Amino acid sequence: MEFTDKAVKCGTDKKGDLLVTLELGGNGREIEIKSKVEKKFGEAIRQDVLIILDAFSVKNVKIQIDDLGALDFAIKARIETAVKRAMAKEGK
Amino acid sequence: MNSLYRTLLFVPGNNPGQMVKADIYGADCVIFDLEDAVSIHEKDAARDLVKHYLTDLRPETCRVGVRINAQDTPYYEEDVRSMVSVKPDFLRLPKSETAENIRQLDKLITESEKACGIESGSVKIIATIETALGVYNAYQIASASPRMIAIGLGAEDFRTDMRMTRSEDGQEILFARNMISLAAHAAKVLPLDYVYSNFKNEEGFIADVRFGKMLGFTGKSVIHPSQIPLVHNVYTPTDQEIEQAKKIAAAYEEAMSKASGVVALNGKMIDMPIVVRAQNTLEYAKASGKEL
Repeated sequence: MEFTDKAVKCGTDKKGDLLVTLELGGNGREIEIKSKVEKKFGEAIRQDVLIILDAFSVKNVKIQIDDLGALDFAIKARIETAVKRAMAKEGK
Repeated sequence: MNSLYRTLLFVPGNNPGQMVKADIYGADCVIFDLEDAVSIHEKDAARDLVKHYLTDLRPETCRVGVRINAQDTPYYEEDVRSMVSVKPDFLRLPKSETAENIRQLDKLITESEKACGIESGSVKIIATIETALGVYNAYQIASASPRMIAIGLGAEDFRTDMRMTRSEDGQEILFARNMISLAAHAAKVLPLDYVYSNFKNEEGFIADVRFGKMLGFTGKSVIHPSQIPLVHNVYTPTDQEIEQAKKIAAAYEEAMSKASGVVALNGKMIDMPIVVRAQNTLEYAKASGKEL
């Protein structure tokens, strides 16, 4: 997934956390998940992301997630922070 | 959940791996830290993380607090508004120097509770006092709001403010510890002893906890899980103390049932302060898992 300098990052590469790269814009919601447990939990991670995107009415966005075994609360929190940082960067 | 504040474990608010383990060590309270443990670039992220953690996984076996950033920082207001929305048991305010600091925080919590539909007065306040002015005003701080439940000393910042030389056994902060304990008891809130940061010095730590207990502190802030059982041990009454407390409590109950104003044990009168101490002993014994 490619990003421009409008992209923001959030999170860490520590165990139990995740690293989010997010850029507003584009066509629809593009979500890429890299995780050792993607097969089992990929859909659950995606659902957490969608909950936050819906809460902030974000329709067009590119998101890359590097997951280090994060729980739902951390996924939702990191996406929320990334969305707010991206909006602030765009002056929204 | 017991009613004591023997241990308050600080947990960095921007580390999900540590946060999920926070409640497994048996601390009476866990405090998620948005202040010193979080870099200025990650204040927003830590706030969101603590908010979602308390929404999804709030611990049920201990009380939960959040240390917010000080009032002279740009993070303070958003910390309060955001954290009140998930209703922690208390907010811990660093750098409390005057009663006005507490009144301002009380006002903002009240506004935030109202905005979130939370019952007014739900979120309590613990003040950390870490300057000469703060220690000087300790009683005014402790009694500034009905939300106040405790005050504690931030020893490192206090030493810096006082230009003190640091000693291993903390002789230089004795006056401040006494003042915090005195002010807290006078205001009927809990005095919390300072963080002993050298968690590898177990012997020094135990001696320090014992000394704090002698000074009247009801608990201690800790930064490492290994410190929790050590504090609880110091605050666990001995079998002999428990037996004596049970006798005093029984004598008191008997006197009350007979509507007698005089409490006596083994032919000696017992004053009310001794009854209260016995009740405190039994409360600590119960919280420590002792059979009563």
